[in-house]
Amino acid sequence: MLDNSGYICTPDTMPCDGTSNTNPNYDSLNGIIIGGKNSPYGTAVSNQVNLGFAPRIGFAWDPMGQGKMSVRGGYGMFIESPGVGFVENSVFSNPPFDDL
Amino acid sequence: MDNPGSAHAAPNNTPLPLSATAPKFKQPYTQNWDLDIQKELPYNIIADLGYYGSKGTHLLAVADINQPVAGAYASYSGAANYPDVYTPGGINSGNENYANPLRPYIGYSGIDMYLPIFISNYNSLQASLQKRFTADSLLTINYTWSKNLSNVPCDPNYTVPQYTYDLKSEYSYARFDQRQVFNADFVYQLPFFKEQHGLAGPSAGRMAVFGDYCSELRALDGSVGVRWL
Repeated sequence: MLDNSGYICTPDTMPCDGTSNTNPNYDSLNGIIIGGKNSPYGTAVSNQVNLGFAPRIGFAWDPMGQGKMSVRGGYGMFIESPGVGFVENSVFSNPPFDDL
Repeated sequence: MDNPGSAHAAPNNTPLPLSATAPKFKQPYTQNWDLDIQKELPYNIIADLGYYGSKGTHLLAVADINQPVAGAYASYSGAANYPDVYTPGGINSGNENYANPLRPYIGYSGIDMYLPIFISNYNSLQASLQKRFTADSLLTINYTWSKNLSNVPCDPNYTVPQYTYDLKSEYSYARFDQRQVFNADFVYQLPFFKEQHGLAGPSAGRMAVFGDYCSELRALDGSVGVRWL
């Protein structure tokens, strides 16, 4: 059913109830993982990687042996530090904090 | 008060948007590799030609994991209850809320999740010539021919992929893809006070004019200045 604001209120996990009231069965935390309660990362925003494997290897070679030419090559792995501050910015628009 | 509830403002029954971090988080990383040949040529010129590549894995960006799947509107079983709403012509920006019953997680609107599932790659040919003159003067020209592909959206924090369930269709030139870059720079040591005699010598004698010029696909930039060497 449509409520007065034009929101569709079925199924009953929707926040509206078909009138202008709030659905009493609506659970704004329906299945949401909450930091510090049931998050796999505890109170942190993401997992903490304390052991980073980032090997670097390279070579330089003088094929003529005269110091006039050099062949160089390299490989490296670089770990990115995630900018999770973006997620923290949005925390207070999520339930249960959105009503505060 | 007989009826305290009556004083409340009308409840906001809009399904909530959420922002979230991926429950299965992976550390993003890049791998870089290169192979480069440098050769000394006559007239104090050094030539440099190299291949440089890189690959990004588990890159982070936001995607809406609560996007209705393609076809959800056409096959919505509840549509018959809302003949005025679910009409041919479909959902537009003015009645987006009708998409809410079609979402995977019903009761919420968009769920922007920070997901470590994006990729990138970069391949380039980089060439350079450097001519060294007597004293410390030099002239360098560089050229880069490169291609940078990725499925990370334009702004990884705020623009979501057009269709979450098909990231391959998002794979294209990265925002910072630069197909060609040409740049050049020079340093010219001024000919006076070279011997560094007298009062002004020790400082002025090491003065040089330098400059650079850079051309990217869409931008031109150049500068010239004076500095102490």
